[in-house]
Amino acid sequence: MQRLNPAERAERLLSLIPWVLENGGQTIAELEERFAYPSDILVADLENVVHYLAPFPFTPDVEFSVYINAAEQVWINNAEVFSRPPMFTFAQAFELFVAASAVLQAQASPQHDSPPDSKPDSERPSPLAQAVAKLAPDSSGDLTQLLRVDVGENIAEDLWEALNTAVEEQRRMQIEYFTAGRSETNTRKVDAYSVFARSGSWHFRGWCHLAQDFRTFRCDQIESFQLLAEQFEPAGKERLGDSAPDGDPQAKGRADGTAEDGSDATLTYHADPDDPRVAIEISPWAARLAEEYDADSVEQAENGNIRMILPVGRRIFLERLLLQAGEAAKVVSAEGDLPEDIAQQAASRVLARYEV
Amino acid sequence: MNKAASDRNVSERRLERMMELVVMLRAKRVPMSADEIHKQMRRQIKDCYPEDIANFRRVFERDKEDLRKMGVPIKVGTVPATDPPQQGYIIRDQDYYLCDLTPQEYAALCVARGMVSLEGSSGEDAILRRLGGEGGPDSRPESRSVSGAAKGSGSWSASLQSPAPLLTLFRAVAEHRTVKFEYDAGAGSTSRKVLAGRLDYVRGEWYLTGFDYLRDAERTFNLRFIGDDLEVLEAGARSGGGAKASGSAADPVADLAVDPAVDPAALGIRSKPWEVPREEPVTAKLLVESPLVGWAVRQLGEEAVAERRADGGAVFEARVGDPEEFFRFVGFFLEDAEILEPAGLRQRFAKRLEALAQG
Repeated sequence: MQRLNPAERAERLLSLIPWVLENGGQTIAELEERFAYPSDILVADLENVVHYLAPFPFTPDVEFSVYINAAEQVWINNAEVFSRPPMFTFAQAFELFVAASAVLQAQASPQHDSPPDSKPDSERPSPLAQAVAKLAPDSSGDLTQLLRVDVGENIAEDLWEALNTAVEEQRRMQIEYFTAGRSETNTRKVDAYSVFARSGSWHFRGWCHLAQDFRTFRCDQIESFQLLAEQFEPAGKERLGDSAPDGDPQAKGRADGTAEDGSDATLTYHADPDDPRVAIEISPWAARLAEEYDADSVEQAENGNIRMILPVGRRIFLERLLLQAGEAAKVVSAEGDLPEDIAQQAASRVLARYEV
Repeated sequence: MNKAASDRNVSERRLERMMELVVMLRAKRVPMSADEIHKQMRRQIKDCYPEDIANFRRVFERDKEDLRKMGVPIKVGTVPATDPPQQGYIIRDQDYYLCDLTPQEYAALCVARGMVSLEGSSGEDAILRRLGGEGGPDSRPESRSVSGAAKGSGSWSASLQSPAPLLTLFRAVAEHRTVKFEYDAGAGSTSRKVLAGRLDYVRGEWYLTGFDYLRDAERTFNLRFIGDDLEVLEAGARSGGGAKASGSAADPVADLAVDPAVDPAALGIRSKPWEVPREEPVTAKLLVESPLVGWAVRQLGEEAVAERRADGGAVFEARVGDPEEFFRFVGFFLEDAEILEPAGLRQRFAKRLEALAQG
């Protein structure tokens, strides 16, 4: 655990003291874990600092008092001035508003279960909505009208339910999955571990029996699905972590959407070092088109454009990117079998459909 | 009380000083001058601040800055009965305390915070600590069912982009302010002055919606295309109950910000990118070949299917107000799609392809 400077310890104490006042008898170990406060420093700060604080005006007979028993349980008295933690900073409150808005929006979507904040039986606002209303700055009024967060495009209600059942009950699924890298659909069994939203789309992460590895799947590329009766034994977290943290929404895809072993899961976490690389230059306003891909490097060119080095396992993915970006993207150089005029070639093929 | 300073190490002395400063400024009902703070603090904790006033000021400024960074609201006010008026400091209860949340509200916030985060955000742990630390308010019996249920079915997570101007714009929205910025979404940079009305996160992008003085109408802006020179201008005219108040003629964004009847789709946020009316909308017919029909249905919706063909292909209808965005969408299909109608849109796409083909 990190060592803390005095300001970091003060920040923790301002939240810890109210907690102990309300939940006296917590152990040092519990407080250490809950507040990320190394136990040796915590004990020293409680005994050498907090114990000697005194309400103002200062009188010798009224001091905070800290009592730690043999079982290392902690009580604090006379500290009512710290009966509640301090208010959030504006930035902290904003992060909470974003999280709350996202959850409230998900609850409002008919295809979603109500995740943490059980739906109210009546028209009464949910606890989360009530908390947001209490935390909102006075000047803002009804925050729900000022901030709306929809983390992912809608997915079918039955798929959402099946995925959550699969994760919760560790049930295997069979899916018909559209593979953009081949423009084809195939069948695979998957053990879903986590559901997450990234870049506005829902994904799930799990073990793919076809690829024999962990993969991330875009929910809008599932053609059909079946929740199977068979259950799976979850791999250790550490194994899942080899590929990516559980549900890591930072996951990036390789530019071909294929797996290292040549199978065709949509997203993987590591580009193949043997894949040819392409250097493209893309206008800043079109750079979002390339964000799905796991670039080796991204830098700003002198002309203000973004220069990216992308691994390309399947040519079709690069063609799609270039045709979507149009004149906003240019191939600067290409390795291996990739022609530098790949955009021209792809455009000519498509153009054939439009010539009379 | 007043344990000897020599019994503490340097960091404990600073910690004690900061904590005691909070206690003292919280206890006072009126602003306290720096000189009085100096005197009282030194009386309480021997040598906690330097005796020399100039040195005290320097150390005191650092303490104030650190406390403010962690959210302690040290406010500045006039010390009563001073002539000339003297500046003083105070921490008012109504500013300091986290509002009174029920255990269920605590739990709901904890769980929501655990599920959704902003990329690159800092202070995440501090947020959870304010809510009772890692693990949340589980020890409160009333909240157990709430937080327990959240760890089960229906759990998901999301990490959202956090573009640079996001927090500044949220403050502008909350305070009903006008903002000024350069905007370049690919059609050339323009200088915009916008009365900030609302922020939306949709399809993985952040949008600001507000009254655009350049266009004299409400507009929606992708934060990605807002320049670094964002400037927050004067506050708006909202008053008397904040955003809950109804709008007025002098406050063109008030209705936009507060009217629950405002349909986000009408503002071009929740609709598909190519539906945003940048020019006179047309209805396009798009032929998609069989391998990609399923994918197209999931993007456009079953209701967009105008015709199913015997070879497995399908014709979709889409409302297009922004052709360039539509062309980007169609580009994904490569030769597995073709714009059939209207002729003008088809020709424009063909010209785009010709330009690309010629390099």
